[in-house]
Amino acid sequence: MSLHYLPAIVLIITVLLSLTSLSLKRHHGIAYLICGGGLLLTMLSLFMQIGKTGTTSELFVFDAITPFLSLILLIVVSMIWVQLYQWLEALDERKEEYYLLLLLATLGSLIMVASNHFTSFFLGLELMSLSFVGLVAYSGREFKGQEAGVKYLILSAVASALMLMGMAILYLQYGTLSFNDLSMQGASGTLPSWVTVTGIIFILGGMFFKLSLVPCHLWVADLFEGAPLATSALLATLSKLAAFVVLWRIFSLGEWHTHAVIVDIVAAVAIASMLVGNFLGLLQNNLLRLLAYSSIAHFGYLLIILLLAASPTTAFLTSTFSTEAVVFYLVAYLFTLVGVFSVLMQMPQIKTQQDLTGLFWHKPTLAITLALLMLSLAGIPLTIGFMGKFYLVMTAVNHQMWWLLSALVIGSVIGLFYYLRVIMMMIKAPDGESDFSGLTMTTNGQLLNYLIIFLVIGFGTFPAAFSQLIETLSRG
Amino acid sequence: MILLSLLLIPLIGGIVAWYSERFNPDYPRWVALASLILCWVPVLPYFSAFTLEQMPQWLVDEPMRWIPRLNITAHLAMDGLSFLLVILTLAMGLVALSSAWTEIKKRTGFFYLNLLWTLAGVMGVFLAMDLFLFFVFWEVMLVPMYLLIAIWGYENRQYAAFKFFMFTQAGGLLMLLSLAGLVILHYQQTHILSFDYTVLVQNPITGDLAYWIAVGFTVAFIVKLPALPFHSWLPDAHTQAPTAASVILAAVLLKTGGYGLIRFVLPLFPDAAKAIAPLMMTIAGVGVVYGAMMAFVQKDLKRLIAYSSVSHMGFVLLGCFAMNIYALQGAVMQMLAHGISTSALFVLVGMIQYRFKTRDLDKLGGLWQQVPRLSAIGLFFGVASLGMPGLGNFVAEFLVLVGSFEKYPWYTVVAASGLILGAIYSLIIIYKTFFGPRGDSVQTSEVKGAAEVTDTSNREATTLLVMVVILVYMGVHPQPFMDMVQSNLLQTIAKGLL
Repeated sequence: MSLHYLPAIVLIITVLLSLTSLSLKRHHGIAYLICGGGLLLTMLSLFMQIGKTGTTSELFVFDAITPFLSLILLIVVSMIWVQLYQWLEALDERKEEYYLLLLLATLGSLIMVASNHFTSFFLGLELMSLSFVGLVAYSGREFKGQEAGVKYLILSAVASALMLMGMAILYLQYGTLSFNDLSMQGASGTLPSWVTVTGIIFILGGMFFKLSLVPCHLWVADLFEGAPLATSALLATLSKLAAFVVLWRIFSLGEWHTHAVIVDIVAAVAIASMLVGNFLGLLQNNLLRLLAYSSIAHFGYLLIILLLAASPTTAFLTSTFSTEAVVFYLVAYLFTLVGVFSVLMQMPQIKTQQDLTGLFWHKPTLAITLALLMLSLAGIPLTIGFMGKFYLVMTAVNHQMWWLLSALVIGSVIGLFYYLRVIMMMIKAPDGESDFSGLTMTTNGQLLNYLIIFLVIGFGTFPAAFSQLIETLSRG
Repeated sequence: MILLSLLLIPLIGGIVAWYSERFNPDYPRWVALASLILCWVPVLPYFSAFTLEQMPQWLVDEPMRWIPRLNITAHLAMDGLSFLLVILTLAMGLVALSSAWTEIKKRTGFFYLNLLWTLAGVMGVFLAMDLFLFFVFWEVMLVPMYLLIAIWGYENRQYAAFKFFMFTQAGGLLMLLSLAGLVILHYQQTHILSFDYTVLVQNPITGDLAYWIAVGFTVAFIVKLPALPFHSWLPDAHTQAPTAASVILAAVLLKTGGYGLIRFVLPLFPDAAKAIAPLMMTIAGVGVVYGAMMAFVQKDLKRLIAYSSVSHMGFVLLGCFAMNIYALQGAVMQMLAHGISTSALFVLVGMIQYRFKTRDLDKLGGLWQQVPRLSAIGLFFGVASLGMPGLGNFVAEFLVLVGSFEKYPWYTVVAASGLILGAIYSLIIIYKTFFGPRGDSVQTSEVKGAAEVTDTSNREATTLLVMVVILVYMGVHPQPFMDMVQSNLLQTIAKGLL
């Protein structure tokens, strides 16, 4: 048993501990602290692994990148955890189980990120999805939340079924479930290649559900709106990051880009997601729905990465550059997104853009944080979001993917429209109707805002150290 | 650290200005004044460059490390062209400050923060010699400008600010793609990964892709200029912006487009620039005439001046692509002269609006009797805008026309007619505001009591008179300005002719 399993073990122990304490005595504070302590220890144990030599086993892969991505996941979860106490206190529901489900979902995503085998991947996926069903429906007697929970349950079941079918077909073809053996094209294959392609399409379909890419995106806006805020945040970050990392791994290990049909499908989905996501966001008034549509578009941009191997490269820099681009973009997007959610969690009564009118003149710190995050999502320089986009553009131009790039440009311009509208609302002169007296700023929230500004602007302005780190990791 | 401090002073000054509002709403403007004056300190020594026999390639050259992973440097450098434009920026910053002095009463701290940050961003554009850094400044300067228009503008400010931001951002994205393409193509052809202008310019990229990359850059720049198909943001932005923002917009923000063409497009893509020159000359010629003719029919004084800007900037575009040293020098002169004369006109409109609460040409008229000093200065700048010999604008337009005539006689003929059309709209401004029968607004304000409307204050008069002096100096003795840029422009031309 190597050190690499330590984070998961720590998480499991935390889960057991919180379960025990829950059954002995319900106490919100204790549950909160156990959860926090567990997350902290997990982060520490992950931190120790960064830069260490990795290993690969049958079920899991621990290369240089995996612990880093897991650490990013944990940081994201912790940033949400910081605000959970206050937010749960306001919720009319039992509080302690939320932490339990949160920890389980985190565990599931950790397993997914490190998975190297369809079995571990599927177990991680189900652990995460089932916990999420609970988390989504965690809103007392509110109708919308229950509806969202049922929707998520059904859709994730459909997605899982699709993926299982796909795995079965691939197993039939290759006789193995390990990701590593997927590249042995037709070595043991007895079936025609269209069967493989069908299997791949099934798996992609399930993945597109998880990543809410067009045409499997219809659930995401309802869910973001209906689910409790913290759950939406987790759904947007944790579940999507884990799903994307696995998709990326399977896609490159399985050399799926060699199938022309698959490349076409992914390209079409990417372009459609960029355009449809941004168009849907265009006139959206509800902030959470807006974020949902923006996340469709952002994962559309990221899909470009999957296709890189399919087009001719010019041996620009090193072959690891596309890995760096994925990691940078993911990290940038996740930090920005979790920032947006934590700002929203600080002002629970604000739901629509109109509610933001004049916020800047009342709560400048909150408004500036949100404005910077919007600029980061839009990809304006000196924010971390821009650096991510810059990496992505550099890689895509390097591979001369002009169609996808033109969709990216058009999508970005449309996207700018609604990001800018949020800012515009906040700087409007207050009309007297908007009432922000209910907004109490906690030191917790204030500190978190400063941290977000530091992450978004600091890494956006001085990305040198960060880019070096990612480069070393990608090489290793 | 000289150039860096030039950028840091307004950035820090802006934050101080914002903070100082807590103590007294009057403090921010004093902080802004102090930091703008302080900005002159680092550049003052370089005025001696006017007397140099031979201009060095760079007056100051400050490379700094930034993102080693992609070999991106924070390379700031200043040559004659950058120097002139930085001086213009600082001078017009003071003009903008002067025009905002009493006009801005609400949220002064945040206003001066944005004003100073815009100036810092624009100076960054003029000084950045790393393409990535250039792009960063290019995009970032828009954000405070956007806020200036969206918060302190007039009736329809949100729409105008929005349009301004969207247009320039769309151009910016195109530039980002081209930038990536340029660097990667350069890497392919030379195996040097660099975003540095001085490196890229040594081996201009070639091939079909180079043509499209050049087009990408050019479009981004002419959106900002603005040239014909992409100009529609300008009249809206100008009309709605507060006076100070209009001044910055007209005086320096538009100049970043022309600067980009001269600094980047011509030297980095000599072949492609030659290939797109006929198209650009057409756009320029049509733009000159179209801008002028649109200016005829405007009822809104600010809108009229904005369209006249479109016409004037057509000359800059014409000068850039004529591939001739006189035309290029003319383009530079036009940027400087237009920067001063147009922003003076905006200042005047701001004063008129402040006094008579309107900028509708039909409601104005007969101002001379009430505000003779203001009207006299207005007459001067109106005449300057039509290109009166003896003033900077004439020198500039004449040089552009002389330079372009050699290769493109017909475009030049068309553009030259712009001078006549320019006379018409300039005379419209002069006639309809300062002379002629008294307009409604002028009379009503008199009914309310003539004491309300005062002529220019000392602060206003000094600002405008200084601009008059500079414009006259540029008209009668333009040689020093041209010497500043000559050697570098000659190199650019030489590249194009190879």
